[in-house]
Amino acid sequence: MGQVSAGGATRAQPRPRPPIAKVLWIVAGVLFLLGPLVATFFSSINYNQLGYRFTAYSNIVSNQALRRPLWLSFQIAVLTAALSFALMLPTVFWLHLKVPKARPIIETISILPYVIPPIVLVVGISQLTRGWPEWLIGKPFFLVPIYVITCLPFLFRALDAGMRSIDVMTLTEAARGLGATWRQVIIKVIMPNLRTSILGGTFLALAVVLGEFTIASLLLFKTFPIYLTEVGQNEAQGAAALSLLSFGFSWGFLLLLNFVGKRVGSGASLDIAPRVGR
Amino acid sequence: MATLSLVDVVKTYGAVRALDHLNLTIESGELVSLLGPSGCGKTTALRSVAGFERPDSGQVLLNGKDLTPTPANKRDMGMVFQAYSLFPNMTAAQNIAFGLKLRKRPAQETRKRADDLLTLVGLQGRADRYPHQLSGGQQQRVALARALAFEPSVLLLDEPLSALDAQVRVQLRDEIRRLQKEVGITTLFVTHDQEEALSISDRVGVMNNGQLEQLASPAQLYRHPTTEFVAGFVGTINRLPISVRDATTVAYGDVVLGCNPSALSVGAAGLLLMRPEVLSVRALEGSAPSKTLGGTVRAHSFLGPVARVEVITKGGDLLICDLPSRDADALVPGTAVTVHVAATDATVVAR
Repeated sequence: MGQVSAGGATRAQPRPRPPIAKVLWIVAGVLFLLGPLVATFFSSINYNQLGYRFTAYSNIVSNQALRRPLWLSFQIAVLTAALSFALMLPTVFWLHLKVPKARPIIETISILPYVIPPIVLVVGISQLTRGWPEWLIGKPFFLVPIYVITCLPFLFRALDAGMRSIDVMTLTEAARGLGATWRQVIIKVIMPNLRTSILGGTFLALAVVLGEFTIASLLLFKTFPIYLTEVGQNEAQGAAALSLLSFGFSWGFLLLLNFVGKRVGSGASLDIAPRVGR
Repeated sequence: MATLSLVDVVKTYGAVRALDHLNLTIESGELVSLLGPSGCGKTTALRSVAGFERPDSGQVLLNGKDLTPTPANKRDMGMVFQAYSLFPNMTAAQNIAFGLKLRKRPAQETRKRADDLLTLVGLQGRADRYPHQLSGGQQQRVALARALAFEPSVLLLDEPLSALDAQVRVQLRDEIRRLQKEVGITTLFVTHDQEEALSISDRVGVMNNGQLEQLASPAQLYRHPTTEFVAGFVGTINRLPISVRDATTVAYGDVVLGCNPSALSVGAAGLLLMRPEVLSVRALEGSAPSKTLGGTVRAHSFLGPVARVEVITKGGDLLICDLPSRDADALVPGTAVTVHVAATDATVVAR
């Protein structure tokens, strides 16, 4: 009897995984993600014989030469993300709504900028823009449309995954039936429900632009990554500090977007709602 | 108050003709259901009214005004969908207020309207819940409130109950009818569930292959179907092959039976349609007399208040008869019986 009750009960219970294993997995994951950042941080403050000091960071703050490329790259990144979404959001929305069968074709096309080497892209663009006015192709903002193309694979996938997670057709028809214009459908209904996708896509676009070296270098524009390389050739600590700074910069911007997106997405524009029914 | 009409509407998808010269008029304040099997065109008809499909030809008229070229967002129609369609990023109240906000109604009025509608659909106190915090039935209630919020001319219901479980479905369908009557809104309801259509509609239209086979009151449709398809689709029906003798009598073999007046010409072949519950069955001592509708009991099923008795006629056709279960006790398989039907309960249709 004892054997049946005790043994049976023990066997029937699924053996719970010890919490320590879960904690270890989480710690391993965090170390894997934070490890390179911590190592970069130590590289930025390690002056060998001189010990640890924050000279690189104080130099960054006082260095006037840094501000220009950093501000330029930031502007280019924001414009790239904005232009990319302005183009891609309605396109992917229309694709899901009206021509879902064409999705695999567009998906394949969207990979092309990723598989074409940047040098080929630059040569192609140079050929295409030969003879164009200097005020257009001579300015660093000429990089924006090129970066839009570069970001295409990431943005398409982010938006496509987001739209597949919601019932685009029903939500659109519901909004249209209630009187929404196409613009209102996208801004008030589709975009707030794609917040995660849009944030993810924006982060990828920022990361791509703030880290892009080849195209800017070949087209002779002095963006942040170009400056970073120049600094790295003279002072390793400075380059490490700048890398961390650009990383923090992207994250800070993303957090800001998340905060703004939450306020818009939660219907802050529909100001009556929280008070209704109370 | 609005009268909605579809005039000779045709819609094709490739080789498939989803709507085949469909004509339908819904009077002001009336609830008309379109009933039919999958692919019969009922949803296409509703989507053409909503403006989500553009007919190849024909017109959608609202109070006589042609809406066919009008985009969906300018049609002044509220719609409840089969799939849950609440905006996930908005609360119940925000969903209801959406149409009013688009119309730039004053905030005070919008707030009161959303509040009133939440009470009307029995969801007061749930204004701040997000769709994922509501059950399926509650979500469809909010969707109904949202569709009514901006006081549209027409309410369109596209199988709004089909995703719900049976108990909630019955409850919500009665509420839809109550609200529709209370608001007095012209309503087009699409469903494949005949019980749903018969229970809440002023008139029911049965569709088949893009055409309206019959449009009638639920009782008329059930008791006097005008086509074999309608008879077969709505409830259980007995069919006997007959030839027409005159306007009110038909011949089934050597048996002459009375029927409702038919439009078929004398001598034409047709089908005599009778519901199981209008047949009465009596056991015989000997064999059935000639020129009387009769046969032999094949099966007897006890279903509680009624018993279902299957009779094979002398002509070899099956008659299903639903009788009070006490009266059917003696009708065991093998019993010779006569079957009677009142002329007013038998309808003749073309074969």
